[in-house]
Amino acid sequence: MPHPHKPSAPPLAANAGASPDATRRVITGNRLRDGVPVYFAGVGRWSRALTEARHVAEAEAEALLAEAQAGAPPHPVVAPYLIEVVVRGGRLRPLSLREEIRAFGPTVRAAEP
Amino acid sequence: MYRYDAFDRRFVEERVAQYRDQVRRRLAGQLSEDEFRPLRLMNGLYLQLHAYMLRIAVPYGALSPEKLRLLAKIARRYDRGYGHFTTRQNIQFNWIKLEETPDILAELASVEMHAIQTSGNCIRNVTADPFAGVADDEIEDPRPYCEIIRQWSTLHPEFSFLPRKFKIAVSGAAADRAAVRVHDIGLYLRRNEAGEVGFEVLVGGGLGRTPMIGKTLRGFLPKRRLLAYLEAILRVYNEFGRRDNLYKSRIKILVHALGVEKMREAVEAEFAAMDDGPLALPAETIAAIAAHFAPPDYAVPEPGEEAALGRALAAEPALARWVKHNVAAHRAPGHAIVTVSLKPPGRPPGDASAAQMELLADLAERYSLGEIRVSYEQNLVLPHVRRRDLPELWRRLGEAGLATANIGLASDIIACPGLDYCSLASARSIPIAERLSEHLASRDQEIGELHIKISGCVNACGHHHVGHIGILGVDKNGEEFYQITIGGSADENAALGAIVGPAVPSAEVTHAVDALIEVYLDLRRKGERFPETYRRVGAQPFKEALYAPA
Repeated sequence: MPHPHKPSAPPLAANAGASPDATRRVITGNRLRDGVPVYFAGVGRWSRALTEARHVAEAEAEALLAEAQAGAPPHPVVAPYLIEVVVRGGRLRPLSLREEIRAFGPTVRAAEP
Repeated sequence: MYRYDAFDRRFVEERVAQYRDQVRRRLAGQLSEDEFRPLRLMNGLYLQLHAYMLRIAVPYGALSPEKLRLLAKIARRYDRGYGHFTTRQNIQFNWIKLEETPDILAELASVEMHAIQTSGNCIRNVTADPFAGVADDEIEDPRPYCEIIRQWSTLHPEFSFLPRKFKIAVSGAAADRAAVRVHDIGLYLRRNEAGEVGFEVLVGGGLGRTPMIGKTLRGFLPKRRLLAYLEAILRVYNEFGRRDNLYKSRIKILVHALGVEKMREAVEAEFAAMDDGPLALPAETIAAIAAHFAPPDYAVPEPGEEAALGRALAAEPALARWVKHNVAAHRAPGHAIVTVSLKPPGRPPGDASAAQMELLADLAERYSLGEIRVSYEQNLVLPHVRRRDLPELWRRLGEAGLATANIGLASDIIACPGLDYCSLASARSIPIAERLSEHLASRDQEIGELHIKISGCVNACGHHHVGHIGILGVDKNGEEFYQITIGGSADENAALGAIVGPAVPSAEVTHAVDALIEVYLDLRRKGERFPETYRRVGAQPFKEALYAPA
């Protein structure tokens, strides 16, 4: 589903190994201190940008999730979980509408402050 | 308006201090999310798709300018400049940071507000007729009883961990503007044959996955025994309500399973075992609370005011339309109840910007004796406006985009936040509401009263079951579809809508609603509203129109 009010997702950064249109797995969760959606970029790093997410094949997903969950408390992210994404046109796109909206924001215009 | 006493103030301030320490420990890693979640929920803090969401209680929908300005301040300082008024007369902020929530709760406490019991399996914010105390069809003001119930239910130790959440609504008027019949407990103030005022008590209403209309448990309950009877109902529910199945845990399922007769027997047995002691409500206690809601001193209208208003209405058709739809009869001569629509065409229902909140606070002081109400239909009410001030008020509202003349009409749509914000949603609600209101606004006058209600999932926060036309978003293999119901109603003749047929894709919702409206316009008799036409002609003509081959 094209997102009506947001620019298209930025090009995918270096995150090799995926063929176009292959379903990949990414770890996401909401950041503890402010609740914003973040994506596991590897090596203990979390990014607000889906484009920076580390993405893996299904067989490697649980290991990636375990890596994302590791570390002493406080963990910076609430309840990390796996989502499905697809690499399309060099960009990562979530497969579900829910995750699309989480990644790129509401599809409606808010009231002007 | 009720003002906190020293006990209230101390209790809320202590809660803020407790919560501040809980947040500190959570951020420091001393509390896990599993440990912290129930604590934040007890203070109205949810974690949604994009951020934390804070649901702030507006007890029985009553706001002062001071409170509304504080909400505007929260919108500006801690959120993205707007808030969302809900179908339970509360307000939600969608872009809240956990680390800032203790400060927000402290700010709220400074104006006698909080977010306690806006979540969790407890007795939630008690809701009421937004025209309470001013409606010309009212037997008695329900607000004192709402306040008494609020005080009784707040942190009630026996009812803080019920099988599921519990919602109570109260109305004192002939017309039901509080959706009383679809609450866990609904209370109508009634006058008996002896002329005494008491309560009709309904139980087991609700929407959600298994919608039900409440059943009358007591036709007339003396005021003195109100709390004892409520406590008896809650005790029966607490003991027999199901805790093993989330989907069967509401009191409506218990009432349905037992049958209303057995439910009544159980409640009456519990009630009979109580003495008339601590839970009794003596007349002087009621009077002391009611004094907080005493009618203000209304100005006596001057000769010629009504004639001048008549000339203004004749000169300005847009003003006349607004007065026709957004202004209701007031019990005080020369006064009116004004409903401010938060449903401009093409915009999210129930949203108000910080600037709009601040303006409404100013206008309430200038024109409405300092009172604002929130309606469950996601609009705001100025309850004490002099009729002579209506033209000026209308102009000032119009300058802020708040003079949409559509109350009760097709574009006055109820919608939940849906999948744009809510982690429980299956589909989006707001974009559907925006498309429909934009499309239908130009036909509002022709169509007349019509209640369209949209929910983004079966939890039914958008009250779709009781919409004249109800729209429920569902997820079908990753695509948004919308199931349509017709014939529902949330008023004193409450009814659940019936599903017309298979769900339609998102792109076809506007066309589907158009088709239903055309059938209604074609078949309605003079003065007949949508539900009445539906009950008279049945579902078939609507089905045929909706699913006619292209």
